[in-house]
Amino acid sequence: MSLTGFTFFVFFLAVYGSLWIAAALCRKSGRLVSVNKAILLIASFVFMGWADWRFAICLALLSAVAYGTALRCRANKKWLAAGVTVSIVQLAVFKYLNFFVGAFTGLLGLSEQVIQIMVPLGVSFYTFSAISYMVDVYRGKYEANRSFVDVALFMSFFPKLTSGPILRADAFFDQLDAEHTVSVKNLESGVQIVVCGMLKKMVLADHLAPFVEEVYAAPAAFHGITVFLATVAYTLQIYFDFSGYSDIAIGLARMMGITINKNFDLPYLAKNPTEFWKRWHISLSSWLQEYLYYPLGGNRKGKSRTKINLLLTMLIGGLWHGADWSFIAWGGIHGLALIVHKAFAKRRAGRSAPGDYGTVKAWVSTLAMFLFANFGWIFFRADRITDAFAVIRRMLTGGEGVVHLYSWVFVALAALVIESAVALSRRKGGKVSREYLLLDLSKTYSLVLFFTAVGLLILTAYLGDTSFIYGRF
Amino acid sequence: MAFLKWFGKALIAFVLATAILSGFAYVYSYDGIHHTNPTGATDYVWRPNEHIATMTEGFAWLKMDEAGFNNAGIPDTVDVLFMGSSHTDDLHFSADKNAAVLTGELTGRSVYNVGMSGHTIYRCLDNLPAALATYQPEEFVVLETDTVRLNVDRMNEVLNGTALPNPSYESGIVYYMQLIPAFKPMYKQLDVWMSLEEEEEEQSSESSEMPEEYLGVLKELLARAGQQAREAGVTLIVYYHPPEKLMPDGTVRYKTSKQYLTAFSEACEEAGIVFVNMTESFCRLYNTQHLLAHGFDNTQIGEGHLNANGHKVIAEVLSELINQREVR
Repeated sequence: MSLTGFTFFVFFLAVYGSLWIAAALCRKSGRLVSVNKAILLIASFVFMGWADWRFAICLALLSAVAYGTALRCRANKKWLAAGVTVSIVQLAVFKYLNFFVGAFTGLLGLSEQVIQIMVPLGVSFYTFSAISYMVDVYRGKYEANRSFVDVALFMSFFPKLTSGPILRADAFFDQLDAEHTVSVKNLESGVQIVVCGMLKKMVLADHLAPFVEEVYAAPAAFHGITVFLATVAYTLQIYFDFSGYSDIAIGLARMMGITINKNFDLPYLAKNPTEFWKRWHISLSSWLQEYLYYPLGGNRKGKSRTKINLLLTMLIGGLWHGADWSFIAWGGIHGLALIVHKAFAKRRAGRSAPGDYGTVKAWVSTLAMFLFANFGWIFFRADRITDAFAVIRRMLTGGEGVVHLYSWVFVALAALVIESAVALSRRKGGKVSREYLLLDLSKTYSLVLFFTAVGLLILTAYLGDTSFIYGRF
Repeated sequence: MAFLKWFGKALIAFVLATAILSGFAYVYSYDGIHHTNPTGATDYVWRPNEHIATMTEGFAWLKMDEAGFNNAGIPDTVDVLFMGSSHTDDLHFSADKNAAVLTGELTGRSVYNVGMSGHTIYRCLDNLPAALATYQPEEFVVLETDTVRLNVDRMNEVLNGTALPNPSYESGIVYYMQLIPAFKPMYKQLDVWMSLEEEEEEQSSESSEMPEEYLGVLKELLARAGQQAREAGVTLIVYYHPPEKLMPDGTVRYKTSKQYLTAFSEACEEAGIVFVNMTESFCRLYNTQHLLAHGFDNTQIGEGHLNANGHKVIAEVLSELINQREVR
């Protein structure tokens, strides 16, 4: 059930309608909170079970592990070790078993063995949620939740289930216990964020998808210019696809009274790799920092160890995306870039602020970082590492082939520029605002703009078979 | 009361937004309104001088002729009549670059194009007698097809006179809704969106085996068309433009079944119809210039309708053929 599909639309209407009915019937009886939780939990497991009922069982089991571990881990650290191990092992089995078996057999020169395993929907995301919950409770950041329903809902909350954002458990639990889940105000802001996300996903990202797909499937057939354009197209596609998904998830959650922080902060405005990772997939980079980089020692154990920790974090971050050497290469490229930037930044400390775009140098840095991100995405997008090199070779050598100047790349590029310009114009004290630009739908002109945006979404949406990129992670 | 006030604002906003969106649709994607063609030469025609805008597949802003077809004007006499589907009516790029116009230029003949969206070979063959009677072409009728593998039931329908024409909505709510430019493309988009998941589930696999009665029905259908053309004193040319697909190794594959192609070609020959297969010409276009005959800068590479390159190649091949043939 895709978040942009008709089936999901009907499903969500049913869930949302149930929440409004519950609000009308149960508010006075004081049972609204528990009824809401029940509706959301059932909906989340139906959503998961729609893909495959066995996925729902996997999710329920890991929720039980997280729930039980959190209740006991403070008294005995072994519980935490067991809980985290179980989480990692199930992720490894589902997602990486074939990769490691393949690498091992390859090393020994044996024939490749493939074990047929179905990867549960959103397994990477809910595994990380489980680990962060258990570790946070162990660290004493907050108390373990005594309600299994709450923990299971934290793990399975359907808007963020397939592709995040990865939430902090305490913030989620607090909101679950609030009575005002559905309201006109939440509907007004949520629906606007959803439309914004759908415009990004269905109009921009989905139009770019077939072009990227065709060129990356047969780089030898295309002229270097086309291959370069397809690489830029993928850079734009992955941003609009994933940030669009995040916006839809955030908007749907907002409609149901749950506030989720933004997952993207105009990443292509970053001037260096460090800034990029503070703006791109924020919930994952924060997770990696908190639960991997810091436990490895962060920057507290000397220069060399800091570099190793950075590289290791990014390599694992790459591997998290998928079981392939190309993802590891992508992580490694960014890890090395972070190491180089950190060394460079120390010598030039204090010269540049993240929100400062007043100089030519700042824009040159932004453009350089954008091109570097493009380079990294080649490895991320290619099916195999050898394919990535084929793409790079084609871009550098030009060669004979089809020249296809796909117009949607320029449309998407213009949209990115407009989005960045609007965000920069709303800067406060040098900082780019991370709030959504929302309309007051009690005013006629705002309603005109909103209806026009919805109409444009319908008129210009690409309606083909294009799933969310991060849906497979 | 507060809700009613808001509802009033929303209603006004909806009307204003519809006006804005209609303006946008008029430029971005507007395929006009059609009505039943009283002559029967085609199932329907666009309104006279209808404006058509296409930015979803190619880029074109066109004005139909007074009869509702994509021509600069209506000639006094017609030497060559073009019939076919949306590939022939060509609403995707500048009207002066389509195969019909180029053929006219290259042969020095008067050409009229009655290509219409949805008019596959079945509809064209069904409409052929009416088209011959209406336009009375002097030399040739050129008929386009993107498939040589026909459906037996549909061929039988044409032969039996039970084939249904493409419908037009000339009254009722659908007609009035069409008058608002934003509504038709939005309706079409929503319709596709709602059926998208069904399509994924219903992937049928067509049998590659040729049905027993296939050859007989095909020959009868084409023989009848050949006879109709002869009676009208014209040569019927059927040209086939195969769908193409760019392969990972950089070559282009043409999705044609050899068995069906041979059957079609032989049936045409028996019926006295000139059959032209564009595969080799498209292949040459790609191998020498890396150009594909289908697809546009805003669509998938090599997929969808014929583009200006494809039309140019078709016009060149047809012109050579027409120039070589004796005038009857």
